[in-house]
Amino acid sequence: MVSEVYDLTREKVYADKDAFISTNLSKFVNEHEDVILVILDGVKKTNPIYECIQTKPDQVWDSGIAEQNLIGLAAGAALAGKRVLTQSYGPFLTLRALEQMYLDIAYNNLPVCMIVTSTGVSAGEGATHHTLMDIAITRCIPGMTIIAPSDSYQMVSVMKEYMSNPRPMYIRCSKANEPLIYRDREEKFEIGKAKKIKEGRDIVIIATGVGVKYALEAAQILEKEGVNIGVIDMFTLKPLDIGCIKNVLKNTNNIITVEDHGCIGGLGTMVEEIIAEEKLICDIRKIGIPDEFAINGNEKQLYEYYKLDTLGIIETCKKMWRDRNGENKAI
Amino acid sequence: MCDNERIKLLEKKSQDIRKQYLEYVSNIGRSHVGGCLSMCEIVVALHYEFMNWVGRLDKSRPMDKFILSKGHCSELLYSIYSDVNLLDREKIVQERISLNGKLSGHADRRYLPMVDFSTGALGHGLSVAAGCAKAAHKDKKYNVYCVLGDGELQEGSNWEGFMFAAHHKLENLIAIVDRNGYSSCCKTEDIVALQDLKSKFDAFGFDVYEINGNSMREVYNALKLCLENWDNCKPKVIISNTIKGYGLNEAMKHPEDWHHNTITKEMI
Repeated sequence: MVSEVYDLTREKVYADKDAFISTNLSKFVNEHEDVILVILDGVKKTNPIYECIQTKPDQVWDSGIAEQNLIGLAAGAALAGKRVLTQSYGPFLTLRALEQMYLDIAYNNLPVCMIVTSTGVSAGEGATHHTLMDIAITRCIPGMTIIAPSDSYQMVSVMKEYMSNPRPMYIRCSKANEPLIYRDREEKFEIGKAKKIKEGRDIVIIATGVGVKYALEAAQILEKEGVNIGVIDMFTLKPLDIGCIKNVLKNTNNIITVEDHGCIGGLGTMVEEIIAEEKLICDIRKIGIPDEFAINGNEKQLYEYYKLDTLGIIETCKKMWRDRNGENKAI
Repeated sequence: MCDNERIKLLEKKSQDIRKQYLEYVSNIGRSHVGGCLSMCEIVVALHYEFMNWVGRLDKSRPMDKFILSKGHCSELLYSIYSDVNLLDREKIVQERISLNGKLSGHADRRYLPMVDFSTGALGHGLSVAAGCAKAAHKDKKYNVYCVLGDGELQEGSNWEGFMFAAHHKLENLIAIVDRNGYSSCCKTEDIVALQDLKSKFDAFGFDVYEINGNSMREVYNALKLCLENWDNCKPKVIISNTIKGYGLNEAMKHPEDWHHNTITKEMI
């Protein structure tokens, strides 16, 4: 749980999340006859799902390039009593098929698990391919569980949770090739319960998705410079672990939120809502994409530009520290 | 019982359901009268003859699924549900007008267990029906019936579902288009013309039937053919040409005013 266990700067262990997702989806299909996987626009021959399509055509369907159809079909399969997972590209699902997510899945309370990849600005590829308001949108859907996993093990753990307790669920992933934060495969995750991955009292960073990794690295670096920074992995965005946030607010007045998502309506906003509801005075800085169409660039460039990466988070922490303690105590 | 006798009974049932519906609407005020009345024969034939559902259950086989994509016409279903005693006929008006009553303008399965799928926004039913039919298709367990409005075919999502259904040869999907020619206040052909639907569905790879949907004989024969052609590797579509407001003189004279309107007892 403490920094020495998660020393990402010392040893980087990478895992291909796409492969993780695909391998596990294939496994679910192969092991359970009642599982339907609906994908959108094919998979490459190297993807484990490709073989599944050949061997289990009744369980793996392709909606075609048609997001509304993807969700409608998934709802229909769930109506027929199946456990249904969908996999598609993040930028296009929530804006294109929102009404289907809202009515076909949530209103009808059908247990479909929608997994999207390349969310936030992680796709690069220009503003059409960014997913900056999916958290803001989906959190308004009653009964929807919303997850942004911070690493592959957590991702798989959440998928297993869906398998044992199917419900309307939206899982937003960023791009592939993310490091493993929870290297112990037996690490337990409970939906709705935040993971406190580093204790700290000076500043607490509440992060979600890919932001967790950078927050942790930033906290570890600043620790050596004498600032004690806590890191919370808020992988469940709905139902939000309000108790955890209230507890954090009891012990610190300096909060930073980190998310690869627009600053309007996402994790930062959720924390602000709790601060307002609790009538607290608190310095909160939201790291995310401001109210604009993000500029061009690849994932790395954009994380740097929008200060979502380790150095960007360190900069925000230092500024917060200076603002609190004055220039003399600057780190 | 021979087909003729069945058809006669269904004709009578259809008249009876129309009457019950109009009586109900005259007590609640407004309803989507035009579309409810145009699809009456189709929906009565399904619920009293062709579908295995909770109101007419053969326990030896799985229940069929029914999705009313034109969900704004749910209120005709309430008359059927009360007719088969799934709802209390004496209470349906109260259930419709009370806060948190079981009935709303669009059937809601949270309140009504006999409703397979809650609808209301247009262009949703077909993909859901296709997904359900595909899930049941391997073992050909049951049929999925989906009643659509013609106006809602302007929603592109329907055609995504139609493509999928034909590609997967979903023989157990039976779509019925209530082709009453009108959307909320205008002719579909004056807004964005649907043109020759039969050719379109033919081209999509459907087994297409075009009928007078207010003739119970034609409805009966088309649905019977759909079931007889169970194994022809094609999803079925019935283009049911109907008259908006059929059975209510006021509505038939001015269908453009009768998408959603008020009925007084004098009109019945």
